Amino acid sequence: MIKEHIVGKFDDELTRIKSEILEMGKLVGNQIKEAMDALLSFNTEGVDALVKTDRTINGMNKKINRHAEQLIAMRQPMALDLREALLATSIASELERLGDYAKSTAKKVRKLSENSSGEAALALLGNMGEIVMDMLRNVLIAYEKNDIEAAAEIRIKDVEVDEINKKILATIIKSIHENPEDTETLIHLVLLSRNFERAGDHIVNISRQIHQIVTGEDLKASN
Amino acid sequence: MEAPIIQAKNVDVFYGEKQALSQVNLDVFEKQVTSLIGPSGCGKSTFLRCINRMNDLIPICRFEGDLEIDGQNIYHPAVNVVALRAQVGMVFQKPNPFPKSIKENVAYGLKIHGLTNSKSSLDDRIEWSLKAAGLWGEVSDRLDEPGLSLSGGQQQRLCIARAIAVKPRVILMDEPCSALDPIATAVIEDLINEISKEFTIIIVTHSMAQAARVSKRTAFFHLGELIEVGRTKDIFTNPSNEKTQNYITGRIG
Repeated sequence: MIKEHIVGKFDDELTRIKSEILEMGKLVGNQIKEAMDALLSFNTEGVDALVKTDRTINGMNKKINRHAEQLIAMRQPMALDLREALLATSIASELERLGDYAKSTAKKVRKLSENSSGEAALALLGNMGEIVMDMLRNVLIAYEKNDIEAAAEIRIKDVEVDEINKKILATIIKSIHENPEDTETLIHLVLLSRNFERAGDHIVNISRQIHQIVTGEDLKASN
Repeated sequence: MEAPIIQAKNVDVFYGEKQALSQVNLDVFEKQVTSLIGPSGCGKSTFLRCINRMNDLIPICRFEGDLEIDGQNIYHPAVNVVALRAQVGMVFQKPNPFPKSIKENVAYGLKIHGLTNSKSSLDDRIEWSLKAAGLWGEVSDRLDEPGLSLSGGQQQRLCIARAIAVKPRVILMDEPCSALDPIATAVIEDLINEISKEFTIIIVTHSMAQAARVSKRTAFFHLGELIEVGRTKDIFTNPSNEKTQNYITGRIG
């Protein structure tokens, strides 16, 4: 159990950054969910609102960076506190990228035609989106609790996302051969699959950053 | 790793009934800066004062264990304490020049230890010491003025010049910057870095930022025990002991 600082305000400032990240993460989770709903129902009504919310997410990223910078300058944190402040900026930027994927997914819905041979791929994308949303929820809980074991499970889960991505690619290659008139929609589905595969990677990065905050070990460097 | 110049083995120190240090084992390496950190009363200054036997001056103080410099136990009865202190110089918290001229302050140790045999060699050594302490440029035209006429930062550099004039093996510094402003502190820290090329330095500091800036190795003391010693960059980024982590991050005082 990590003790509190002698200077209580230091704890308040670290907690504030943590809460801001959790709030940002929650909003990004909603964005991914809405983008998925839009995709699976071919409903583009909410796309503009989603694009607007992405700007809010970008603003939150900037705010977290500013608060981390202030904390480093004013409190001169050491060891785990320093990692917490530095890596908060990395986690915020990973979340910001996840937000971008949600936005780009939603925007792509406008380019898809509803009646194409991409149904099988779309169903797989639905599965992929569920797993990614689950990974994001769990990584935020792991971050909140500094739980490196839960963070490690997320890295294992990402293997499933990569597998589905491969499956989607194989399915789409087959569909393009069989229904070349659907090529445009099918290519967009490949790009969407790639979006979710990358989203999984960003969540994996966050799980590594949680590990680094707690242990000081940089998993990316040791790999 | 090279052999240590100082080896403390199972050091216990008592002030009367009260135990101030308990089973301290610490190696200090040559021509490096080692910082001793820890909250007030943790024993870091007590340990520092063991190294030149300053604690001998406290009647109720009792030392047990071994403390070796170059393999020689400095607590052996045959050790000449005055000669030991020529080998292990000390700079204190508050600059304490003698009420003598700048020149005489630096010459003092050389004279009492009979380390120069002519006036010219004495003058040469005074100039060398003041240059090494980064003070020569500021005082070379007023060497006969009182040491106490200098600013606080200059006085501390004069004390460093006085300490290094006798070319000790080791210089002990007990919070040498705590009475100085940030600029004078930066000058002393730069000087510590410079002179560590020739001398082994052990510094007690309450400023963790200073320990991080000046030293290669850092030892953390808590309640009379040496909790952890290691490379400064490891101690301040990823200490192995939870107590060290709690102290450096401001969670225990």
